[in-house]
Amino acid sequence: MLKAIYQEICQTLFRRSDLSAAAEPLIRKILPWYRAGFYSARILQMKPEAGCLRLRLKVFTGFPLFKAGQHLQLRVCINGVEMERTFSICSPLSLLQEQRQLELAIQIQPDGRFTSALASVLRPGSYVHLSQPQGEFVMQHDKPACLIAAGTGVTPLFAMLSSVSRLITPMLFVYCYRGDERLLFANEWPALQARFPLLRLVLWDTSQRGRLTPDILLQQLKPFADSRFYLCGPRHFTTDFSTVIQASGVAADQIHSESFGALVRVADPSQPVHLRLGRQSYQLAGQGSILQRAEQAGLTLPYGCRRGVCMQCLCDKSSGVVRNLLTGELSDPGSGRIQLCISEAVSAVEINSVELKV
Amino acid sequence: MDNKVTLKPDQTQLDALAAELDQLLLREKASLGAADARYLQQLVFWQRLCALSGRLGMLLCWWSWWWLLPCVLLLALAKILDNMEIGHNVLHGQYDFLRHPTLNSQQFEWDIVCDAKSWQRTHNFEHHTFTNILGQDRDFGYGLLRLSDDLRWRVQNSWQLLTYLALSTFFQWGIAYHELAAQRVFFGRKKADRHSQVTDQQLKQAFFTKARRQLIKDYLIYPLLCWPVALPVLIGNLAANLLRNWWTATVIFCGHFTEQAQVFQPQECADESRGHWYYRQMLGSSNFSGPRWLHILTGHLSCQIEHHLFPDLPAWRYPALSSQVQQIAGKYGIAYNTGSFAAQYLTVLQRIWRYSRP
Repeated sequence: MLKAIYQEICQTLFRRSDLSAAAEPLIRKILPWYRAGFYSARILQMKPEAGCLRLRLKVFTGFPLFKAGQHLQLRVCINGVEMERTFSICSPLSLLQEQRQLELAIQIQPDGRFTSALASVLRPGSYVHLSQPQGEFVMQHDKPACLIAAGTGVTPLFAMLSSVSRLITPMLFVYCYRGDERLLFANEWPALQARFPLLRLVLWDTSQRGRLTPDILLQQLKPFADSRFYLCGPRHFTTDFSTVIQASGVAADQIHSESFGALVRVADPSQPVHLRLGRQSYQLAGQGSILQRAEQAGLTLPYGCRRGVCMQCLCDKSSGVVRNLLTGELSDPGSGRIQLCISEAVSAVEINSVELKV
Repeated sequence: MDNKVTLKPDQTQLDALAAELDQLLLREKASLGAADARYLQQLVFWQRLCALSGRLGMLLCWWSWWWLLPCVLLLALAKILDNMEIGHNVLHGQYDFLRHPTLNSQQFEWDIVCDAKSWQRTHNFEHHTFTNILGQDRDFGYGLLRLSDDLRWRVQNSWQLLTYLALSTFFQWGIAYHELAAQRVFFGRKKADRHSQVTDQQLKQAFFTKARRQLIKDYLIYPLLCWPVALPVLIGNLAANLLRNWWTATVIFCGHFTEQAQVFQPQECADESRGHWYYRQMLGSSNFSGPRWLHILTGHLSCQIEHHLFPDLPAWRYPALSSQVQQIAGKYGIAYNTGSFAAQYLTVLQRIWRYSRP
């Protein structure tokens, strides 16, 4: 109620939903790193490690406590454009509590627009912006646990493990990586193993021991009975493991997984488009611009010029690559705003918009 | 001023024209980036500073009412910057590529009674798509003024110079009511050929909400906040709004209603090509020259031709483009209508006067 009154007053006086957004241009003249609605963070250290960039950040007091395993959006200004991507926090909670620091391990995609630019844009001392930590991929300590990570999927699991102050249930931690030059946190593993006697750590180098399959996991590595499973890695990895583990008799609610991975760009013009408007959601079939496909599906979306000028059909894409039909330009795979009338899906696209009303 | 009569180019020439202008647009779009972000940030800073100092300065009327004069000018300047160089251009989506959380075409709301979304429908879509097509572009004469022999003379046209002065004075209300008038929300019979994506109910609600907020802000909250000097503050706000109305109306009338600005018949624009659209945009618009501060105060509508060709390009780039556009226009024998501000405005007044008689 009070919040609604505050917002109405801000809308009336400043045409913004809160005071900080209205005052931002003035504040930024004095504190250039300030951004309304985001947490600012200063870069303390940038260290390349195992194909990743490890960023150590100093946050301000007031940064919310996260739960180990959660991720956040990292927002960086690249050539004037604010770009953001989601990364898991890989440092323990104690680092935030004791020193107000966070760490992210960002895998560098050589042809990625965001990650490949980071090394040239950021310096120790420069500022980035963070969203608040979010995500349900967190650990419960009531039972034995089995954590299985592939590649950079190790980051949230590493945060879970290193945030534990005293391990009271047995834990199996399996980390698959390809070759020693790809081993993240190489210096931290021995200390962790020494700290937790109940931890069984398996560093599985696939270049030497071959791919880890779900069967090898269950038969050779033998997870503890009645374990909870935490999986993190590329999508096919988590689905494979989760299916086999379920088949071996583990209940589905004991398996927690999070997956990521670069989207594959396919040239096929008819990629699935998933449109979510408030609580309703639609799968769009057919071809052409996303606006045309929505209309073929019988939806009436706001539009104007249909030639990319008037911006009325602009909406939020949460993932997927689209091609601009006017310029032929491909979009980022992550979240962004697109004009539906001139966007064609190049990969599977997910649109999540509250702005558009049917 | 270029007075030569334009011969209409044939389809091949129009296609070549479109190709050249498209290329110019692509080249310019490729260079978007940090410079645009910096410009917008500076602009918003100065706008906020003017608004803040203007509003705070009015408190000095406690000592002398003479303080009202500079403060009104500052506040009017803030409103003009907000409406023209920031609002108009941001709502066109010119800065959407920066992905700013509030300075984008979906979230921005401006310091004027017109609801931003309503303006996007009438201006971005209707006016920019059907520029100067009789019967389709309601911005041509705003349904009040007769500015071409193709329109039937009515008795009320004989005093249209006075109507124009009244429209200028209440210009913000004119724009706010524009879409409601077109849809005959309150008065008149519904037109069969008009379709809308929003219901009359939504139109009314948006209109009254925005109008209420603006009126409460300028004529109730701010005067009450400065209680002992409520009267000068109220008068000051009224004067600032008035100055803004006169200025925007004058600038906008110079854009399309000068002597040379041409009108088009709906049949010649049915199924038009992109080349013809470009051609029509150039002939239907007129520029005026001046120093940089004048361009900024007009929101770069002084480069109306460039704006109509490339409505979603950051406006501060228009002056640099104008010589190239002029060159292309010359190559295809298309008139490029420009002159000094005073000379162009004089032709506007002449045009309103001339067509006030049958």
